[in-house]
Order: sequence, then structure tokens, then C-alpha cells
Amino acid sequence: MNPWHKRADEFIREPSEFFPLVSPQPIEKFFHKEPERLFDRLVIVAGSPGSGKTTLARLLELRTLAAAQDFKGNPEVRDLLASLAKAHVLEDLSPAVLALRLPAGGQLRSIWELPYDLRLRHRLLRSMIQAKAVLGWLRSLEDVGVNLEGVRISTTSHAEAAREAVSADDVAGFRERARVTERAIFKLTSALVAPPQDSLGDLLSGAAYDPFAIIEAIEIPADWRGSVLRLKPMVIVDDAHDLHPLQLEDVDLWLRDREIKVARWILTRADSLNLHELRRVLRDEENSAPGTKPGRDRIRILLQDSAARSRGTFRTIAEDVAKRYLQPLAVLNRRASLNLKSLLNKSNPAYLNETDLKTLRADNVRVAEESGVSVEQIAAMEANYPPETPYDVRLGITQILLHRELRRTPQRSLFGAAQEEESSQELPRVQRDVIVGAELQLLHRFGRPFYFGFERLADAANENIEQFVTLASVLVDQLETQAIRGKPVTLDAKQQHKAITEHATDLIAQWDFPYAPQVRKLVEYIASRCIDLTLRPNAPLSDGANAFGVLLSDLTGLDHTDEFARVLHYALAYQALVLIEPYDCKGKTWALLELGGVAIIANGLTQSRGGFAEGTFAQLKTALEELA
Amino acid sequence: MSRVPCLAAADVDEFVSHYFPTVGATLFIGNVGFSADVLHFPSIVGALPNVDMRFFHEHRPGVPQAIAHIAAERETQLRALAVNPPEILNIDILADDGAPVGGRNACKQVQDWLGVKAYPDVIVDATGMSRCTAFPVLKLLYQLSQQQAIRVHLLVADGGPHSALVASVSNDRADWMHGFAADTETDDAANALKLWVVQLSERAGVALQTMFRELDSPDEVCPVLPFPAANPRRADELLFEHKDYWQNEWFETPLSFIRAHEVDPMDAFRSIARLHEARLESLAGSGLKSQTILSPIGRRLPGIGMLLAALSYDLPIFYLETVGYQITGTLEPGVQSLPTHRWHFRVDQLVPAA
Repeated sequence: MNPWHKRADEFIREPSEFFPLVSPQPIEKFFHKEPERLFDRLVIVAGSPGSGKTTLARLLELRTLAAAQDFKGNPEVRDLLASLAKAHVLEDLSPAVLALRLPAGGQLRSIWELPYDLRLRHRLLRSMIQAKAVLGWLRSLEDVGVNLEGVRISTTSHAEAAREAVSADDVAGFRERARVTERAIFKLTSALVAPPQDSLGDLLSGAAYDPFAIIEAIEIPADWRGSVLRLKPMVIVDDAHDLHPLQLEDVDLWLRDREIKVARWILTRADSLNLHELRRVLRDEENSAPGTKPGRDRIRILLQDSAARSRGTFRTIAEDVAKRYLQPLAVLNRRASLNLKSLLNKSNPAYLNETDLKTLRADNVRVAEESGVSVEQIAAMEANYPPETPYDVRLGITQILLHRELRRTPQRSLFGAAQEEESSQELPRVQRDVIVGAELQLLHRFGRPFYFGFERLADAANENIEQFVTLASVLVDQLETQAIRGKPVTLDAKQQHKAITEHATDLIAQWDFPYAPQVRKLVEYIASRCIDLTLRPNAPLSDGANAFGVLLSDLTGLDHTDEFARVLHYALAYQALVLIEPYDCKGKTWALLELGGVAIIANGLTQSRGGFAEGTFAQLKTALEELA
Repeated sequence: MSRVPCLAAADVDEFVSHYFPTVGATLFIGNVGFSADVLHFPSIVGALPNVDMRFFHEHRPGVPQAIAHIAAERETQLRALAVNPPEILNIDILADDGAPVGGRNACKQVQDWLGVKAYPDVIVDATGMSRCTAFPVLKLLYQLSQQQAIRVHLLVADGGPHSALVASVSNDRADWMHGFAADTETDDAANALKLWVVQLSERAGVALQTMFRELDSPDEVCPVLPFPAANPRRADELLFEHKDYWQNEWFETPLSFIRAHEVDPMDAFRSIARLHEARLESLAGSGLKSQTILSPIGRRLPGIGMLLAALSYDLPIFYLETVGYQITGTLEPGVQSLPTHRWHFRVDQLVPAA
């Protein structure tokens, strides 16, 4: 099993393979604050594809938790188990929750298309979710070897009638009641032409089903783990963005009911929240709808922290993920350390060849002459570069600074007196972003490798583990090939840069989601504007730009029914672009559409935040119209 | 094995020209596609006074202007071919939120058309019609034909692959085709051994991955490769293009591949039927339930074979809707000529498997 090629944890079915691959840090972060609140009210977890939503859900499934005991004492999994225990998901290494992951697409969404009134459709959806949850819980118990005959359904007190309605006194009856409900609703959704509402009759009585109103716990007999276990039932509605927005709204309202004792999470791609809601979540604000109270009956958690990103934290997570994913690769294991960071960082940068250096030096001499900067002044300037700066980059920095000088120098008159030389003064130390700017200019001009080393690889992942694994997989493949061929397990800067930029370009070409051609075009346009700014000889933004900035008023005034808004919606959902707002700059408030990590690599741009090309949505729309 | 009465090539032309003038009221259901092949059957039956022509005009977001223009041109041509005033109806393939609804909309419309008057013969011309529209409509008609006297004719013309300039853009959510969910999503089928029979197609890697994931990793995968094919290396090229999926994610070997004729639906049908029957037989007595899931993507004709298998054996179809197209270059409308491949199937006479 090569997890680098699996790309998504959900393909890995065996808990014994799954546990060691899960990095504990994101899980610990998730459960860090008041974990009990995550199980007593509605929790909405939003994130882009690959941000770890499904991994989280799979971790809580009974068959995964049931395997926890097998990892007792395993140092790789110890921290993860500690986080789960702290969150009361595990009690003494035995499961304490009985979670079912319920994908929301397909039949649940198709209930919306039935030709019935809104209330009935909502009722059918609620019944279907409950029937599927009950059936799923019982199936999960069976899968791990629990004898269902001894299972007891614990309900709230004074609920005899409701208990009888769902046949909670006898597990076989309890299951059959849920099956009847499921079949009745399935019959409606799978009919080629749905029967009219007035002909439903008895069918509706089968579909009236509400076990969530009374179920508190599910008790497992002692013959499974030696003692009776009382599990908290839990439903995780996954991919809730597949539901119709009004269905999601109703499910949200329903599951906010604090009388429900079943733990309930809704996992959704960030874009199911409309742009307005997404912006609110990004700003960590809660919605205070009538009759609700922020935080009291619902918690929202955004999995990727795109606005205030902490690269250091993600680099540590990426390093840990890389270590875990390298473990199953026997060939590499035998030959090299399991640290991707050290494998990638031990290469030296490739320098420019002598011909390119000659060109660069000649350019510098020419610009120095034009700007009237003497050799001594250049030497003084270069003395302020960090000493470890490679020679070719030093020439690149000098060129940028000379061009800046050139812009400052007034045009000399042929007949005027020579200007007085400025007295030499203390020059500021050259900043890090000017060095990156010079490196990027050398990349575009001479093909000098830029994207190499572990840090730049991790920074390109947009804090998305799946994206990190996808990008890194191509490098791991090459390292594995080196190991198989008996060559040194290392990749030089040129090999790394080439592999990763080609891979990024391929990934963009492979985008296949609604409006993908338009998103590609949008990215292409924004990238061309950013490249233009990055390659200006005087590097006005130092390391250049990687975003398109519009005034915040442009964003707030966007018509959500407009096709452009849909294109933007998918671009953000798939992290082709990342929305940063509000962003204050030059006395104005902006919204930045920053290119995603893959697009940044494919176009040779900076990974730092802040540099942007100013523009308007009208310009982006015009760029898209060319595609049509 | 189930029996499917069918005709091919010149036999189809002969049947269509001789049979339909002699029967009563006939409903023709076609589609306004952008390929010139969509004109073929309407040009033969459109002039008959007993044939009522009805066309779907499928609407998807993000369709380039060039394709919309060609479709508008086809619409004019189709109107000119019909002696009775034709009806051309817009149907939305996707709901506002991106959910696939084309099949449901089409079935509702067909039911309305059938309610207007009695049609002993119904023709479905699937030539330019999306699978998501054609398959549910055919299943609806097939079910009706089991209850009342309706002869259901499926016609398909195929002049070759779509222009290389047009590439489909897939939805990002896979789903059971409307009416073809069988019992897949019920608890009864939760522990069934899933066999996924999927047509391999060029540039469909992301779609394959999405479907595989949403099927929750089926137990076995049997990819369908086009062989024999006009390009004899096409099957090998597809194997190579998708090697990451079948080797590293599906864990399949070349022994699992089905090779089916690129333009013969019956070849795909027979291969699937044999596979499904053998699997049922081998699992009989083990207490395990077998579930064969079909996914047609790519060329139309092998997909028709999958439809016939799905109708005969009540198999589920899982698919990813096309939500738009991307054009690279200048698209020419193309002129009508005799399509190389013509097929006719009597869907009402399809004998279901025992």
C-alpha cells in the first residue's frame, strides 16, 4: 500500500492501516477547546476538499475506534489516542461514541425533487436521515462483532409512546421499523415518475419516524468488551453541500434542537455556505438568526484557517504526515531516513551557468551607467546583502536595486551640469522579500529553480493535507526510483523544481469540476497580471504579487445569481483561489483573490501573502467572456 | 442470457423506411444535439404524417456560445424536417444547486406527451441525447410496455467520435442515474459485494476517481476497454492513461478488464451479462449478495450496451453528469451525411433475465 498514491485517506479501509497515517496535531487542535460541546449540540465543520473532514468522520467510526486497543503502547499513535480520550470519544481505549457517517448526496438530495409540498419533503428528509442513522448504527455494531440480541436502546424518560412508535424495546423490531421507513421513502425517490401527493396514503404513515427525539444511548452487552458499554449515538452528515440549500437550512434548524441527545455533525465544503456566510465564517463571526444564539445551539468550525494562516504550524503537520506516509514504503525505508524534509533540503540550489551570469553582469553594468551609480556604490549596496546569498541571486538583487535607483534619478540634461553625487549614507539591509523577488525574476528569465526544499513544498499546500500529499507524491516517487536504482536517495533543486512545476501544471489541466474551464481562465488572467508585476525590473512589490485585489465594496455588491459568482464559488471551493478579506492597504479595504498554491507554482509566483494586482470584477468578467 | 432484438446498419434504414409508414400514431422523441448525426432519423421519419416529433433541448450552464449557435442551427434544421409541427422543449439538466435533474425532468415530460393521445409506437432517438435523459426515458417506456401495448424503438446513429475540439466538463458529484438506483442505497444492499463495471474513456481520470470514491471503494472493478476499435492501440493507450487508478487505487490486474467492441453495443451487453450471471452463480449459496454497478462514460454505443444490461438485469447505473463543454479551436457545424453506425433495438421485446 502506497498512501502517497491513495491520495485520500478514505480509500484506506483497514483501521490497522488508517490509524498510523493520521497525524495527531490537527485532531488535537480540533478537539482542543471544550470537547464536550462538540457532542451535545449541532456542529458544522466546513472546509475545502481534502482539508480532513472525511478523515475526521472516519476516525470516529466504530470500526476505527474498536481497533484503538490494538495500538496500545504504539508510540506513533499514542498522541492521537490521547486526543480522542480527552474528547471522550474513547473511554479506557474502548469506544464511547457510535458514529455513522452519512453521505448527503444521492437519495437524500433527490427527496427535494419530489413533487410534494415543502413541509412533506422536509419531513421525508428528516425521517430518511434518522432511518439511515439507526440502520447504520446497528450495522456498525454487527461489523465489529457485537451480538445485537443483547443491545439495549436507552431513551429519555416519559417517552413510552414514542418508544413504542420506533419499536425501541426490541432491537430486531427497532431495525425493521427503520427498514420500513427507508424502503418507503426510497420507493418514492427511485420512481421514474413520482406518485402524486394525494395518492401516497399509507405510505406516509410508514415514513413518519422520529427516533432522534428520544434516543439517548445504545448499550452494548458485556460479552463484547468485558463490561457493558454505553455509547453515545452520533450522526455525521457528510458532504452536506450536496443537499439543496433549503434542505440544508431545514436540517440545520432541526438539528439545532437541544432536546436531541444524539451527537450530530454536519460536514460541508466551505462553499455550501454562500459567499456571504463563508465570509462571516472566515472572519469567525457567528450568525445570530432569530430564535438562535451563537455558540449555544450550534458551533461552526472552519477546517482550513486561510485568513490567518500559520505556516509554521502547517509545516510541522506536513512533516509529520510525510513521516507517517513514508513508513509503508519499504524500499525507501531500507535506504534512507524517513524524513522528507531532510531528504529534500539536503540539495544545494542550482546556480546559473556562466553564460547567464555574463548576461546578468552586462545588464547590471548597463543599468548602473544609465542610473549613474558608481562601482563603489554598488559594492556598498552589495555589502548589505546577507552573506549566504548565492552569487547569481546577488546579481539579481543588484539589478533590482539599480532599476529602483534609475527610477529615482531624474533624466539628465545633455547640457546641464552633472548632478552632485549623493553622499554615501547607511544603506538598509536588503529585505528577504527582495531576495525572493530576485530569485523569481531569475526563474522566469533563466529558468533558475525556485520551488525546491520542504518549506516551499509545504507552503504550496494551502494548509490542505491532501493537496500536500498530492504535490509531494511526485517527489516521493522520484526518491523511490532513486532508491530502487541504487542511486543516492536525493533530488537536486533542479529535479525538484521541474517535477513539482510540471505536476502543478498537470493538476490544473486535470481540473474537472463545474466551471473548471472558466476557473482555469480566471487563474490564467490573474496569474498573468501577477507575473507582470513580479517581473517589473524594479520589483515594486519586492517579491511580486500572487493575488488580484478588488475593493471590498465590489465583493459585497456581487450578484450571487450571476454566472461570474458561480465561477468564483467553484474557484474558492477547489482552492484554485483563496479569499482574503478584509485586507487593508493604501488606506482602502480590499478583498484579495489569492491564487491557490498549485496555481502559484505553475505560474512561478511568490508564496508570500500581500502582493496583489489591483482591479475590478468587471475586468475578470471581461477576461471570462473571451472564453465564451 | 437475456435476449435483445436488434438490427444494425442497412437493416435499420430498411426497417425504419418500411415499418413506420405502415403503423398508427407514432411518438418520436429526439434531442437537439450539436452533431449532424441527430438529423439522420428525423430526416427519414419526419416526413410521415403519423409521426409526432418531440425534441428535448438540454440546458446546461457554462456551454460555450459556439456550441449554443450550432444547437440553434440544428433546431432550425429539425423543424424543417417535420411535416407535423414539432415540439422542442427546453429541459434543465442541472438544478440551481448543481444536482443532476435531467432524467427526472425528461421522464415527467415524456409522461405528459404520452397522455395527449395513444401512441402504439414510440421511437427514442438517442443519437444526440445525453445518457442521463435517454436512459431514464427508455426505462420508463420499458416499464410501460410491460403493462400496456406500446412498441418501444430505440434508435442510435453514430458517425464517429465527437470532435477532438470539444471536451466535456464533469460535475463534481456522482449519483445514481434517475430510476437506476435499484436497491443500492438501502440497508438490504449495504453488505453486498460490489462489482463496478466502468467504461474507460480519455481524459476521464478525475471523473473515475470521483465515482470510485463516492461508491465507497467497490470490492472489484472491471474496466471496459474498447477493443476492437478504429484505433487498435486505443485500449492500450487508455490502460496507460489510467494506470494510476487501476493499479494503485483499484488494485486490479489486466485479468479484470472487459474488452468490448467500440461500436457494437451488443458486445458490451453480452460481456456484462456473462459476467453478472457468472458472478451470481458463483456467489449462490454463500449467503453473499452480489451487486453489479454500471458506469457508462465516453463513447455512446458501448453505453447503450450497458443500458440494455441494466434493463435486462435491473442493474444500477452510477454516473457523473456532464455539466458543460470546453472548446479548443474553431468548431464547425458539420454537414449531414450517412452515419457509419446505425442501430435499432426493440426495447419492449427485451426479455428480462429470469
